[in-house]
Amino acid sequence: MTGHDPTRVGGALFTDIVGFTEFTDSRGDLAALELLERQTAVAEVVLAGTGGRIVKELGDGLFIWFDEISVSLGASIDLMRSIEADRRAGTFPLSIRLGLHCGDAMLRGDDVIGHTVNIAARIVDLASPGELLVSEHALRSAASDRLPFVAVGPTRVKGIADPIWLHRFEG
Amino acid sequence: VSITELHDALVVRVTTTSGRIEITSDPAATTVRSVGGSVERSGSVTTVSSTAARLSIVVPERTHLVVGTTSGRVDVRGRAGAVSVLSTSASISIENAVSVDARSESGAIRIGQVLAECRAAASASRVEVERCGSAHVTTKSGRITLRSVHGPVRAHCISGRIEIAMATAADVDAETVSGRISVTVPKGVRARVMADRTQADVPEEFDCTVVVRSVSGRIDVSNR
Repeated sequence: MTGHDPTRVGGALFTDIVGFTEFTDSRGDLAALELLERQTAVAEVVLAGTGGRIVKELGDGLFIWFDEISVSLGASIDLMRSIEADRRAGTFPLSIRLGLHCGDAMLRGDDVIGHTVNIAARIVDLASPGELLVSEHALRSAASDRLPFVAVGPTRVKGIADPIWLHRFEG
Repeated sequence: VSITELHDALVVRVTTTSGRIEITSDPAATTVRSVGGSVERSGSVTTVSSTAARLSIVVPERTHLVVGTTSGRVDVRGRAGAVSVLSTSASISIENAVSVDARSESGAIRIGQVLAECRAAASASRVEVERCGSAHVTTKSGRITLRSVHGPVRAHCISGRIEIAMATAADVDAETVSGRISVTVPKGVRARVMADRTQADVPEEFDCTVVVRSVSGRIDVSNR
């Protein structure tokens, strides 16, 4: 024990490239690698100066952690918009989807673990291509009253008694 | 339905775990009535929670509905307001709404008439929409059928088929990895067709842009 408190409060963002497996099958590993590198490069540009960091790459997705909840929402929107702009311009061939939740988590080396992370991972599974879904808790914590979000509905997450209400960014 | 009317409308939030949910928008109703659930009211928001196998709710016409359930079936009848349904495996049927956001990972989604935007997401099950304004529909392997679209469309599918029948000159963005894409535009509408960002058919003047992308699926764009 070092006496160092590993508990953190922040935002967990997951991304997922939709159709990546089929894309790899059709276009090959090199094209897939370029796509992943493009996603990471865009994310790093968006995250610069936000306090957010890529914790790890999970297959074709990213797990990003923000120490500041207040910036996590804006950065998530920026990332979605950046990738969508590339997609429309034809420089990013697939769509991504994003899921954001916030709350307590634990540091484990460079990794971040905990229920907050698990819930964010569940949320991204419910998002459509080109869409950012966020939990109601994240919306309230980020004080985002002026941003255009629309209620999507409540979803159940294993191990949590109350449903998690989700909202879709409409911008 | 004007924007003012929409904002002033009732909002009913429904939360269940499974079973059948029937919601009827009744033009004669002035309050929310529920059989099989507990009802709580807070301002313009009414929350109905239930663990019963069957839940029946009657709401005033054009009430906004936000429904969450794990499994079973969700039927929304009559003329609803903005409708959102989020489910893991329930089948979803919505007869008429101002706008729709329906998601079910493994249940089929059938939507009748939507005045404004229609959003739907499924996984292996099909999504069918009879008539809508704009549309944003996505599946993994389920077939997407949009029979009469009156606004811009974005449709995404990995291996299922996409069929879009446009009722007006509006932009289309349809994408599959291996599924077939079929887009029809009304007779006389001049579409600029772009396949994989390559302009395949470019009239000198055009009324709308149809972007269709598929890694290996067949693509058809035609006038009806």
